[in-house]
Amino acid sequence: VTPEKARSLDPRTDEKLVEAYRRGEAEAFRTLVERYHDDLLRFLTRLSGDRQVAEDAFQDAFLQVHLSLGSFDTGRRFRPWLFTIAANKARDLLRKRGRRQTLELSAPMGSSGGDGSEGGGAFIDLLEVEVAPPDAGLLEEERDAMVQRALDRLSDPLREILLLAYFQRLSYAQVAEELGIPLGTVKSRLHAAVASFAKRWAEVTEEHRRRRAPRSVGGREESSS
Amino acid sequence: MGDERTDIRGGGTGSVDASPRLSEADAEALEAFFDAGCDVERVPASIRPRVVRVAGLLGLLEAGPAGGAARRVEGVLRRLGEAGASELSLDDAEALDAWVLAGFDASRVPAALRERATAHEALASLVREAPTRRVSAFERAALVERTMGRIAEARESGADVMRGRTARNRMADVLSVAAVMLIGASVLWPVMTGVREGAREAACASNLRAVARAMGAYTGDHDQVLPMVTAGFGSGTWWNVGRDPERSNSANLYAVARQRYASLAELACPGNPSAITAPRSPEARDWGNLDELSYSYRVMARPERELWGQPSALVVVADRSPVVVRAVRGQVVYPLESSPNHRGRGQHGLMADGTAEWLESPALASGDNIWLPKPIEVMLDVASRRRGIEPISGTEAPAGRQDSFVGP
Repeated sequence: VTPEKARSLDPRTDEKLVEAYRRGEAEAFRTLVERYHDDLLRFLTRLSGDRQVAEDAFQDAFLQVHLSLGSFDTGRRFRPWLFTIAANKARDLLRKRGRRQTLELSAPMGSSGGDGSEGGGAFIDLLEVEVAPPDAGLLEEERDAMVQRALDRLSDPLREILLLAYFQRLSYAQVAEELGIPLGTVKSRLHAAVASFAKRWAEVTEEHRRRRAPRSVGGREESSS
Repeated sequence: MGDERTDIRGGGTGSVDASPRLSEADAEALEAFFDAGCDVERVPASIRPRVVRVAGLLGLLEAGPAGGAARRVEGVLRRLGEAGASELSLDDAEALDAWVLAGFDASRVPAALRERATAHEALASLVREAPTRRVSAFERAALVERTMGRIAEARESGADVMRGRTARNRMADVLSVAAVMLIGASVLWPVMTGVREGAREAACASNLRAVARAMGAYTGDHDQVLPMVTAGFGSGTWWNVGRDPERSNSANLYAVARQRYASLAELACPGNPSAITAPRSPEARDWGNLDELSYSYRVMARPERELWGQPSALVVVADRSPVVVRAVRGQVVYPLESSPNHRGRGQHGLMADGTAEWLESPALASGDNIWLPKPIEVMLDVASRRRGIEPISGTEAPAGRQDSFVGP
């Protein structure tokens, strides 16, 4: 068993590891970093849309965690604390780099697509949103990029609340407490975020389908002849 | 649902309490406004007049002192609820609440809402579970190492979590340190640091094996010529890393990553805390600066054919050169100094025959110093007692096909 494997099997909760680290067990911190590598990096990449920013924010977040551990109340949960710190760090980095949100407002707004799914108004019906890839041949990377494109079209506050909810799986009350905003705001913002994301995803898949359409028609003609 | 719509251009704000639906155009304008970070100037000109009206209405709705854009969005969303900004159908909104309440587990949502909660779950897993580019074990290890490296630096600089500890604990620290000193720091310290350093060295060696595979594939695809994308340096400088790709030897090595023969993570030594593992931008043709660079690469005056794959101890790639790092900064260089990647203990070298070796000294068994071209080595030999000698100016080339010389 490699040391890394042994750490991944460490049965202690995050909060217990924090306590152990405070008592001087340096390896406990490494266990936390390794434990959160995949999830936090994915969250930060989704949030920033930039892998390098995500990696930098990942390091900044853990450095901040290290510096602030003295004030961390182990009665609280570690995960939301870490993710909130990480989101702040990502925001700071993006601000420092002068990133302006890349808006693709010229993209079709859905209702003009003529598919009728949104023809009745500005409401999104999730049951009509195609979550499965629009075609079977969609590569993982392609789908990944499409998800990112849809997320990038959200405003920063909506993207942040969506990702915090999806990744942390916190109740409205917990999100409200972590972000320090009223519960009603959390709820309405998450509703708006989910709706916007569903809509953007529908747009992105529609664009993808349109780009692919001529090729698949050609293929069909070929096979039928 | 949706039969009572309000067009902002005609309707008054008094109708908000009656839960009106915004007209489609107004809802679009509202969304465009939010997406533009509440900046009217960033909204397409075609819908700007309507957006200005929407923005005006938001201003009216916003109670209390004027807040920032984000506060205004919150305030409006709170007031409009599902009426305008949110486009979730009522059923979807209800299902979302139920799903969140059920701890994000659709199977625990009441049957009537379960189908829609499952749709929420699918949407969420699209975001959570789609791999954001595959992360190799080495990229993973490298990020963990860099993170831990920064924690170690913070500790060393005294910005430490332990500041919050009690005096009693601090006394325990002092006593343990004293105990270590009594037992023999010379025994314990290398053991403790050696474990970590050993892991870095192993990851670095593995990187060079990946680079060897990349070089084999690259030369196979390019008529046996080693990677070289610069036009040749002539008598010009080759250490302008990140500033001028035509005058940077590392741009030649970067081509291996740019053309996807190896990943940038495989060109990042875990012993280099500033290494990057992903491109700064898709257009990047070189590392951003000398610090980001982990490996030095053979300096070539012109494309060199059929060097790779030959049974030769010629070093093609090595841990970054301390000579270049110092010389670029105008510092005195030490030709026998080892790479900073491994705390000066030695460096890995990738030979032209494709093997990666640990070199305890930059001087090979043949006497060839990998940080310097042969003529300078000879001069150094001759003039070793002279002071003020400048052994390298960043313009040199190897003396021939048998002269190992890497940079930056």
